[in-house]
Amino acid sequence: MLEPRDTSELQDLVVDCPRVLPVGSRTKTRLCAVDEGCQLITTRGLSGIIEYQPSEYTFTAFAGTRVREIKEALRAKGQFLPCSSLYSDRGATLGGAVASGLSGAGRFRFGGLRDFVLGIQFLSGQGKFVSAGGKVVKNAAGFDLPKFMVGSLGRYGIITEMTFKVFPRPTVERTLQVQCQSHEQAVDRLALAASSRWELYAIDYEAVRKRLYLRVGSPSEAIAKIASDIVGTWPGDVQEVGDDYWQETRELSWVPDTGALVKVPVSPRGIVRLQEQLESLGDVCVRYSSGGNVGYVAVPEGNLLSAVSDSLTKLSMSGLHIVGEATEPLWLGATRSSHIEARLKHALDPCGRFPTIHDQD
Amino acid sequence: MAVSLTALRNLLSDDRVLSDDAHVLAYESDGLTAFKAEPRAVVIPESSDELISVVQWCQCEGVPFVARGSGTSLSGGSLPVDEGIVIALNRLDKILEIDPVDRVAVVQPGVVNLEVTRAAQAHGLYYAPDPSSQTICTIGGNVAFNSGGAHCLKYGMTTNHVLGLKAVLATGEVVQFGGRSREQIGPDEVGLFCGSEGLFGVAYEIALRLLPKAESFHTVLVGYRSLEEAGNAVGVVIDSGLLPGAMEIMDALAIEAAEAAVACGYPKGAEAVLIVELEGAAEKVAVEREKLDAILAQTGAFATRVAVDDADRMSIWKGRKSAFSAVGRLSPDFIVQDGVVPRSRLGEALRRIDQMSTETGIRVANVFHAGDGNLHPLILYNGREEGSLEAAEALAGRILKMCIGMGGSITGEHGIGMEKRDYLGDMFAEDDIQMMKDIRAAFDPDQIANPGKMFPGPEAPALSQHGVHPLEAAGIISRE
Repeated sequence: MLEPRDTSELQDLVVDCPRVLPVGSRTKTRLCAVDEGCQLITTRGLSGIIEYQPSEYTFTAFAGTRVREIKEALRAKGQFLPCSSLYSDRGATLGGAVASGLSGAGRFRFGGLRDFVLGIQFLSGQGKFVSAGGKVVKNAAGFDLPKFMVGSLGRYGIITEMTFKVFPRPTVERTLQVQCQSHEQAVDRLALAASSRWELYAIDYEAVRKRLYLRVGSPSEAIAKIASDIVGTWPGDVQEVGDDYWQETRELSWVPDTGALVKVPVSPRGIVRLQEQLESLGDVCVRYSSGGNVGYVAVPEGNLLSAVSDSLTKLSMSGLHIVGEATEPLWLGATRSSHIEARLKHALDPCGRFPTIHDQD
Repeated sequence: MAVSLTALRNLLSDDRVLSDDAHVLAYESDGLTAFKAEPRAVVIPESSDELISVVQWCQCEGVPFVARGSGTSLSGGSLPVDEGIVIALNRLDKILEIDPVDRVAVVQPGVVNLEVTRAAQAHGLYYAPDPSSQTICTIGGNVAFNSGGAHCLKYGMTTNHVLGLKAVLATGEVVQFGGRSREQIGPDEVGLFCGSEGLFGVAYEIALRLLPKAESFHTVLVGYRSLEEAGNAVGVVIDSGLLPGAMEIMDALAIEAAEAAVACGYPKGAEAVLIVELEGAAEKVAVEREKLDAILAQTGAFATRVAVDDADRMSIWKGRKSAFSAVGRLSPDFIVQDGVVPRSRLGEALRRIDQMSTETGIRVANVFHAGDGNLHPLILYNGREEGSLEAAEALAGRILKMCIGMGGSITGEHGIGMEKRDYLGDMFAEDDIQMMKDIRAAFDPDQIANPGKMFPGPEAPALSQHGVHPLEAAGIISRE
């Protein structure tokens, strides 16, 4: 794996390599798995916050900057990136977070990485630096390539720097756990919570225990009243807990070490049917995040993935294999492919330097 | 254009392919009235299938097209192409679904922005993007131009509220991007499509994110003796850690116009007014309003008015929302720009605009989204005076270049369209623009979808007209 020290070195390396996949800290193992003919180049060396202006609610950082470093810098100024991202304690980089499109539980309230990225610079397949978007919180000039690069998996260009919007941190946060009796009841309660006056910062659902987790953020003088209102909404089923759940969710420490993890976009209405399918497979564990809009499906061994894929196909759903072995497919369930996808790939990477989104050369 | 419209008439009924002058002239201009062009025909599909067939016909015949909702674009985004066709989407106006569990609305492109909120409010939900023209502008146009509004700092723009869409591309292909989930996998094609200014194709079904309506509001109108004091107050509020839903400023000229138009009762003698609005759970707003009121009391304000109820809140907003159309009372013509500067440089930007105004003798009124640094200088001119428009445009160009020089953008929410395309090259490098062109070619290799917009090029219609949009003059729409 090559590790350039600056963008100029990165550019030199890329133009010399016929086939390249950019990576960060390789925390999302399956997304970094390619065949031997493809050169891995890490952007970890392109690290550091270039500009942070708390009064502008923006920062600009190199792609290799660790998410943890950014969180600390923001926290020191009473701000945060509400959508956070996964694996920050394991050294995940900002570029990797954007390329993998993995927002944290905090995406529920204000949106995900796609909603907070304002500007981007990347190295195209032709080895040219391209900038899009801007550095101010509002901008409608030109095509929104910053958003397109969220979830692009390093297959359309190498992200080198990004500008993000940030928000003030809530003064106090609390977590309430809501015990449910069934998935149906959980979805009903989730819908009620999501449309409520409480302005929750996160709503997750731990399907195996049938527990909802609600994160309340507010000024300290108001939080007790809001929390009390939630407790009174489902008497006997709500208790305040620590923030361990969010830590586990962010670091994916609940996923078996040798297991595989799949991201499945869903909507609250789809949760019950998806659960029925996956529970029939046996040892499958799912946590729903972002107010029931994404399921993280964990299996103890990769060989269960084909059954997960079949289940998704039955529901016309798709999944992205994030963590696991290279021998298992990147995409699960209903296939996605279109002519426009191929033409976009060609526009950004005409010589096919990066693998395709389908992991083909 | 030699192409016969007969096939098009066979696709739709005869009365929905309009080609006589009396009909097509109504579509020759949009909210940017300085430009006009006469289309070959106006086509009015009533179903998605008809729309798809029309675009496929355009592709087969090589006929350029412009999709249009209510024609409120302020950047000339829906200006017709000479000898092309206008596809009027107003009859694709159905709200197909409101789902309170998924908190999603699925709509056709001709649905008027505010109708989404009206349909969702029974469930305690609303659609957040609120351009000032929201009583008439359509979701299709909002998607194409990534429209903004007064609440963008906290809630983002249109693109942040579009979950998925079905579209017919300029190639005639039918595609689906995203879905009804707030999450997705793979590159964000929805995000790329939003704000593409009609250059990729036409969305015919759009899934929108709905939000719970805030329980409580605290809206404050503050009067200042100087514009700078108002600008400084914004910085103090931001630095306090509060996140207001909206922060808007109007200067003396804009206040004068609004007062004359709607008698909004803003503080007399104010050189600037600042509107700040907090929203959220009642307990939270109760705490935050104390903090906000204490902060504002230290900012040199000479008058403070707190909305006592919803009607009072609406009356405060009425002055702001009417400001642009009201400026029409001060001048027969005006240009509105929407450059963005870093918020902390708002004061400097306003001083420089004032200086430019003095130098050129051209009056400029200022109304802006202070929370996100989005300026809206209204450059007043009289189109009947020779050279007046050109002088106003030159001043507008200087302001845009100032925004770029300060690290901002040439457009916060109106889009590049026809109006600002000559400045795209000032904001982006050659390689950046070439990449955009390559992406456009992926969607529209023949350049038939809204040609002549966004990119500098030879296809622009001649400058030929000026004046307030007829709907604006009637007080039906206003400019953000």
